[in-house]
Amino acid sequence: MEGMRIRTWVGRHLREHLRNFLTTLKEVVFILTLTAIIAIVLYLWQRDLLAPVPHAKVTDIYRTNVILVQASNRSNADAIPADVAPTMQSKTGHLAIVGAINPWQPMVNALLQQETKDSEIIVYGTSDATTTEVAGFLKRLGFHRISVLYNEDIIAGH
Amino acid sequence: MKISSLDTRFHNPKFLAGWVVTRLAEVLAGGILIFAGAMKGTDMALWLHDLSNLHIAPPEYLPWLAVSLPPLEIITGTCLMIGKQLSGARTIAICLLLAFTVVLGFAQAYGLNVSCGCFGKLSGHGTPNYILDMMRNAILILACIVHPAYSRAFAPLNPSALSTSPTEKKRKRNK
Repeated sequence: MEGMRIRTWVGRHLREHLRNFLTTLKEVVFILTLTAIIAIVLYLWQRDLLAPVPHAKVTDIYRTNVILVQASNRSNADAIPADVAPTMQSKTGHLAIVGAINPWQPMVNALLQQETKDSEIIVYGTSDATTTEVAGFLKRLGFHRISVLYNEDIIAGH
Repeated sequence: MKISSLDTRFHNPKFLAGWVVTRLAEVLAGGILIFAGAMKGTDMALWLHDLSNLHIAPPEYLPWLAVSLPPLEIITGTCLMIGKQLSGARTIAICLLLAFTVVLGFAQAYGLNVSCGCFGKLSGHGTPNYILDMMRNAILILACIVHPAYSRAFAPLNPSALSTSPTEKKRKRNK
């Protein structure tokens, strides 16, 4: 008799916990499904903005009509070999040195004001947050032909 | 969330006060989640950039993570605020906040000096204070836990009293 009562008690509690668990699971699935639908719509809408910034080749910097944006401070720029750095500067119409100047956003804004959104821009600097941050900022401004080039790649001669 | 008039716990002012305070804490946590999600969603590129700096996933998955987290936070926060799908929302909010706390813990341990991106552009890009962010997350997790724990701790002695009695069922059927 006592054993049966215990079994009933355990069964009732187990059923209650299972019901609670299933309710929670159902709600979690509902929220995640809703999120997934919104995420897909958002991804399709912001696809261009979210696409990773491509890497430029060192030879790209010798092309004319390429705007070089140096996303590093002077000490980082010193990492670029002496025979490369002057060439880069002489070949470019514009050169923005950002990173050493804070806030750098207004300066880049002013520099690129005359440029069309189709202009090809190469952001170069050390492979840290600054370079990707500058590239991301230019993307948000609407420039869509942006690539990054790291100092390490320039030194390695890629 | 349904409050039954048969639940005698609500006749006790002390219980009612505690219930309201813990529920308000939960609503506030929901509001903070909505705000965080909205701030991330308004500048998606910056949020993606902050995510990539934290190195929490392979680069090819980062855009998906970036578009998923803000709506998840907004939906979860809304559910917490309005009291719909509450247990699911609580579970997701706690998991989400725990995950953020672990990421911040790793960032602190590895000495990273990047923005956490918790509140989009409002997070600031100066020197981050991960400890403070982790403490904020812990308080939010507590806010999500305390209300159900409080309600359960003062559960009525006879839960069946809250359900519709056979006589009531009969009366409804006759109507």
